[in-house]
Amino acid sequence: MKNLRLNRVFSLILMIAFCMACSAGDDNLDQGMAPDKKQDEVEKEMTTITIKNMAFSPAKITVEKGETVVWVNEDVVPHDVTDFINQEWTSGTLSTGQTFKKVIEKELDYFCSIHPTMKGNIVLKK
Amino acid sequence: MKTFIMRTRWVIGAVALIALLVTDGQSQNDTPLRLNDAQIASAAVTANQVDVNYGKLALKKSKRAEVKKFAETMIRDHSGVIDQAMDLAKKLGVTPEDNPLTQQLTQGEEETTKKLEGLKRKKFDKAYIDNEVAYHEAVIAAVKDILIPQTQNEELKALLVQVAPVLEHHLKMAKETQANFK
Repeated sequence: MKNLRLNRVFSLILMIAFCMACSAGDDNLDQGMAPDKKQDEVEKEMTTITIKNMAFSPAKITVEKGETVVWVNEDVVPHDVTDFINQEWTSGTLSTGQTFKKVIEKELDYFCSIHPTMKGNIVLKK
Repeated sequence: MKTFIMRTRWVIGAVALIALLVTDGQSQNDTPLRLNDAQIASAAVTANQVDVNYGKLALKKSKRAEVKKFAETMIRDHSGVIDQAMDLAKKLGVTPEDNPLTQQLTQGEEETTKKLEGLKRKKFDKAYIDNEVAYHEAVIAAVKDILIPQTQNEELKALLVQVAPVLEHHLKMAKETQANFK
């Protein structure tokens, strides 16, 4: 009886460890990924904005509603991607090489709160 | 009048630094300063460290929000560049080498820190920002005119090329902050 309980506890620990391992694979700072889409579908609809030489490039893009945008910090200093109007959302600090993803549901004006003259804009296709 | 004298001092200091950057600072015939990659790596790390130290002093002495925010950005950005320069030096097997430019930067830091530490809060804020404008102007000139052209290793050169717009952005931020003191 005692062995059976121990086996159940051990099995439970193994299951929890397995679930944690499955969910820990992506170290990107993701936000708002569409949950129902397969990975290859998501990647097809992804637009990349590079952060380099103290600028977002391209600074202005047009995307479909629901499209995912990924910002990649390729600069030598940390940056962030932050809502310009009310600072409602932010990527947090992105060190060199780090990325931030966001599903775009509406037009966005954003900036780097660390270097406020760095600005970008996303508009939706009509 | 005192403000004018103080500002003039920062400008003279910056001009002296630029003068040193184009000569070896010792010879009488203004021989252009020649640096190898190990010396350039040392100068780059030191120039960034000097501004990190000024930023830490500003966080300690200033109560003005915009000055503290500027100082935090300087600390964060210049620390990031130091990390990348050190990582690259390690990867390339280069040991940063002391040289006249590094020594002058360190000496300049000691003198400026002494002046800044002696100032009361309000005067400190303005003096710190004035120094940041002058210091970044001098370092931008050094990076563009001396360090990048003399760097042999392509990866080190690429890092310095990427640092230049960061310094120019800092200069713009410093000038914007400086304008608020007038």
